[in-house]
Amino acid sequence: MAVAVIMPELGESIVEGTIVRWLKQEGDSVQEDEPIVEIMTDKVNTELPAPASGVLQKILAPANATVKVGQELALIATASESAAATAEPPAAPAPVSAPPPVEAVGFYGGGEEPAPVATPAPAPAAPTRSDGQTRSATGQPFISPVVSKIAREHGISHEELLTIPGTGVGGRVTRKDIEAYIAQRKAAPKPAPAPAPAPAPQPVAAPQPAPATQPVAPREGEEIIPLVGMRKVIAEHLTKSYQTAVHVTTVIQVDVSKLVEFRERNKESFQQQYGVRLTYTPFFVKACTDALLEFPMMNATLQDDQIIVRHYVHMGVAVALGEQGEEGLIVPVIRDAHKKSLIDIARELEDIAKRARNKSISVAEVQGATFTLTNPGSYGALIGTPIINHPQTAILGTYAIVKQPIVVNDMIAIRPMMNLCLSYDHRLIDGMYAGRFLQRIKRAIESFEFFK
Amino acid sequence: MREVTFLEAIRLAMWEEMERDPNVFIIGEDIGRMGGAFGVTTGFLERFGPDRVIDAPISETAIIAVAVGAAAAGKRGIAEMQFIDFISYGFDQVVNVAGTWLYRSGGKTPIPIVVRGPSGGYVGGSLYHSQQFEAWFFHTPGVKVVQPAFPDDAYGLMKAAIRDNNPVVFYEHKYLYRRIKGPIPDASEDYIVRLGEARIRRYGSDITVVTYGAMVHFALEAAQRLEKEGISLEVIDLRTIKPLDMETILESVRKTSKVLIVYEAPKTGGVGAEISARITEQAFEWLDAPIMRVAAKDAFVPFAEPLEKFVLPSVDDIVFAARELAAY
Repeated sequence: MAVAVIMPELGESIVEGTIVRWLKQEGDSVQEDEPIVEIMTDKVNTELPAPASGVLQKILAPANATVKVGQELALIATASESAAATAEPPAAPAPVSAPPPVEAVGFYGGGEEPAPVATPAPAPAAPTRSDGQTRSATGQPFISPVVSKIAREHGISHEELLTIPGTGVGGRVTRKDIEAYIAQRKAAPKPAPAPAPAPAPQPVAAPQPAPATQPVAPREGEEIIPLVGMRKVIAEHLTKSYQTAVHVTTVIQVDVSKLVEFRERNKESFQQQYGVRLTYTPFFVKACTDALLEFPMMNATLQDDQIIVRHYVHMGVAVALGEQGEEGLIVPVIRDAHKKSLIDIARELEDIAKRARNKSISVAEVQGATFTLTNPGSYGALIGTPIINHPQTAILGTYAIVKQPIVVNDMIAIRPMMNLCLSYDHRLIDGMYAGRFLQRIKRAIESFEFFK
Repeated sequence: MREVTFLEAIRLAMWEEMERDPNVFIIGEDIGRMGGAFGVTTGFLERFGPDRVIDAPISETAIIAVAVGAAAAGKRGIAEMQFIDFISYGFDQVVNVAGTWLYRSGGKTPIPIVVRGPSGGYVGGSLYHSQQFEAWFFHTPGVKVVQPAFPDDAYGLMKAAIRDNNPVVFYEHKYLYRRIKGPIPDASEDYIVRLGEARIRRYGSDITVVTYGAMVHFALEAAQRLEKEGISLEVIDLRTIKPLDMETILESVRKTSKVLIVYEAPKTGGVGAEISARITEQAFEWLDAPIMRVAAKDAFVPFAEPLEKFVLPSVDDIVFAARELAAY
């Protein structure tokens, strides 16, 4: 028996993923629970273990393919079957007994080389013409490019597509079938609210709903990269946030003299004592967490007509991936930050950031944040307007620490200064509330009340 | 309007161009006193004299080379291959000399020549008198390739080819020479058919048939038979194989979503392969079935009639393939 490798549910909101690469190839033997494929979802990259031991018989979803939860990704021939299979030519499930290549032999001079033209192709993926096979190797009915295109243009889902009676080989839905279906649907008085199908699906009639991606031809000096995986999710997520929340940003300047001094003085002993590098971020997490407990609306979510207010803090911390940030960004979560000490936070932060960077973080660890902290200061940014991590209500950006001349007690002093930029959803939060919240954080940092 | 054979249409086109332009000359084997193996140049020597109608020795290399050299010096040469199969002897002249000259001269020296001759099978011509190796020159930069199917196109395309400043290889299907008759415009109309434009010879809705040469007639016959079965073929006659009129092809593909390419040459690496690839590149989302090809087997054309029939594509082959596509 062949055991299917199924795209698992990797998290509550994850409906699809992208195959990054196959760690095993067709014909490789695999052990149960051995990682065989790397998958990228909107949240994390993860490796899937083999569900059974055997031989990887067939890869159904190649690298870069987008796969839905529940979809079959590959077939593993289990021990008994693969034993039988390996007795024959390796990794070729269909017994290849090539018929004499009659048509390949040239009329004259075919004698020397029986030209390899007529190798019987196993061709399991694409439907072949003569044998009436119209199911792809995944067992799904074959949908031709034009049928798929028309369905997309007329807002017909895959499920709906499968209900259309097909007159093609093996019941395949042909272009005529789907066009007849659309015409009939239009004629019928009130079927499902089809989003205004374009009158004639013939040439390039601009489709009304969900404009199909027109393949762009790259010009000189350009390249085209498909928007997939993490980048696509980030794009969709930020758009949604920006279109939903009423963004406003308030900035406050913080004198971080004590913080800088403490770190300089203790970073080596801290490392020795706790085994963790001492950075500024745990202090910001801590100060922010404490402030959120006092300003719970900042830690809320507006959902329809209800405001969900949390009296706990799951702190999301943005981590850029890749040397130059070119591999996207991920937001691991420090759960129940309000219950944790500064040391705990520092330790967890280091661990979670490291695992985010080497992509061994689990989906659960990037879900459920109630507030997000981002640190553009790490790359020298002075000021900015972060976008809220939907459906949260606010995000705090910590910016670069720069020595500045400031007035202290009517004297000019040089102090390390930092901007805190808070973007918040103005539907829930008024300016005063945001200002008080920032003041609360400022006070915690400036008076350095962390070890009380 | 004149009702003429396919052969006569070509003869008249060349005659009228030689009347019109004193720079046009023709060179080939037995084209003068004999009037050509098929009689395409009957009466030319008497009318235009031995300086413009040159009987050449049996050397295709020399025939094409003379046309090329004269063209470089301002003439317009027509090089007749007694059978287009023998163009292989002049291959270098076409590919490396004529094809490259404009480029080599920095765009200064065009080579306006037409290398023409009878091609194709179905006449029991066997090995050296039956071939359709248009793919060789389809693959060659700097060279245009033409193969008409009807007298009016043969007439208009030959005139265009002679007036064109690029080397043109002109395939005249010998099966059509005397079988096909049709109207052509009068000389006074100065009728030409521009190179690079296909023509839809029959409109239909189910399957786009892309073809050229004698296969156009086969496809039209198949279309007639299939009409009775309720299968509607749209038949595109490419007329010019290179440059390829992708606009016309793609427009039809967007209408039918099913494509059958028919060509008489061996299937592998033929013109149909390129057309298929381009359709996939440029109209993949419009396809409702695999692009299919009907072509000759990958073999030379045998002499024995049953074997010739076996190797070359037939109307039946087109009908069967079209049925399969229609049902897909």
